[in-house]
Amino acid sequence: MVKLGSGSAFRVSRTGRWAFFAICLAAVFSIAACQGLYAQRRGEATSVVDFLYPGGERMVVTPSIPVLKLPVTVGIAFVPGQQGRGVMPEARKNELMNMVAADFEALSFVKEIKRIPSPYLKPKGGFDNLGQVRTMFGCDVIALISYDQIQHTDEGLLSIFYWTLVGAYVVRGEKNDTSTMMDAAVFDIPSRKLLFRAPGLSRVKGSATPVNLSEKLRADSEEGFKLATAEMKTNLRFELDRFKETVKARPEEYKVVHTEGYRGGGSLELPFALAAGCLAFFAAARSRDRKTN
Amino acid sequence: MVAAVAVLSTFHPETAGLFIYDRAAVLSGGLWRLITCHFVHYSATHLIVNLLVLLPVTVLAGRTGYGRFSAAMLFSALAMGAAFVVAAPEMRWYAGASGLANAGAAWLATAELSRGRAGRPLWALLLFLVFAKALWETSVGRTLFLGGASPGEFVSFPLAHLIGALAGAAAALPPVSPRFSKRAGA
Repeated sequence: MVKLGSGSAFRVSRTGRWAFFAICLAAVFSIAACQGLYAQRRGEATSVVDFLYPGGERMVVTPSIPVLKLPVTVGIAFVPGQQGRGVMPEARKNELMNMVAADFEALSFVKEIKRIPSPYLKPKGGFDNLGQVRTMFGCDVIALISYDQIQHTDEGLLSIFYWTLVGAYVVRGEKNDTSTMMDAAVFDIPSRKLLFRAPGLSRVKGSATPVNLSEKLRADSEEGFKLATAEMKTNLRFELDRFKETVKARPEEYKVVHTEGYRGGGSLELPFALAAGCLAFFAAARSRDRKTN
Repeated sequence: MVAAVAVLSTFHPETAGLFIYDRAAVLSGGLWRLITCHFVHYSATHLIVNLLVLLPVTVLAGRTGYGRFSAAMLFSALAMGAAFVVAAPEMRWYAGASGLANAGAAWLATAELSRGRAGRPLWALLLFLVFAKALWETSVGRTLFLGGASPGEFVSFPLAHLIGALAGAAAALPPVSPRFSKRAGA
């Protein structure tokens, strides 16, 4: 029985009570479902094309024949982002650059790898900016690293427990998906020619409570960059080996000169070595056969 | 002994510093490097490819005489060393036995041809290949096949192949002087 303020009352049937309860339950689930429809998306990206060709389609850059002076000083830098985007902390950039540089510093034809701090590259700086970097740091070749990272956050079914208030602290109802792409493009600055490039991809999935969502997203972002950088390093080594073969195969497109103090060596090539070795044995065997006969 | 030096310096790079051609060290008096540099290699692949010619040539040299072969190799090594000092002042280091391999192949082919043994067309073909490749590489400035050193690994020095082949062939030629010929025949 439901009593009203004027003294009158009315009786609610059992069916009515169940209907009321069902409507409340449906409302709660609907609100929870609507919360799930609201997925968050955030991302940051930089573009090497926007940096090098600020004029867009109007810009025409004709690369010339690169002259590679070995051993070469290589610069490594992150492409600056547009204003308000691509704001990776400098410390993280240094960490990732060190990850990449460590693998290539020991190569015999690399004299030094110089990390170029972000302030030295300006948004849409173009090849002119690279020329300034070349003058300041003495590097003829530069590896420009760009990236694109997108993070999606969706609320899973467990998010219904947020209504309990405690659930917001302990229930990991937020599902995160971090996709990262990194790209290293190696340019010869004087000739403005792209020598080779290599990508790296990663995908990090995780979950978090609403309270520690930001922290978890930062950790996923960091892990995403590290994994993508590791893959990019592997691809860089592969592409570098391919580039070395290309330089040998097309000397008219790439000129290699050696500065003082280079390392010389004498090496036969496998086809010639096999042919000469076999020829010597056949000739000796033939002369022995004739002698026996 | 030569093989031991080659293997040791390849797989224990810390010993290579004693034997490699180092221009500064040679000019300071380390003349042994003019000979030992040919036995040092930058990698196992570098060593194996050169041995593919050097080993058979060394084995077959016994037909003519190891003494004469060793003298020819020593002469070739010194000739190439002189070329490094004179013709390549910017080259700081050199290693690799390809020059000796060319010298050995040219010596063997010339020795067999001059002795008039059977199989002369094959020996002539070997001699032709060695000189043709060396001349082409020296004139163009790069290796004939793409299987050689990668840019930056080290710089190939084709002149070493040519000088090695010339020195090896010259050492195998019969002496011109009649007095020497009489002494040799006696």
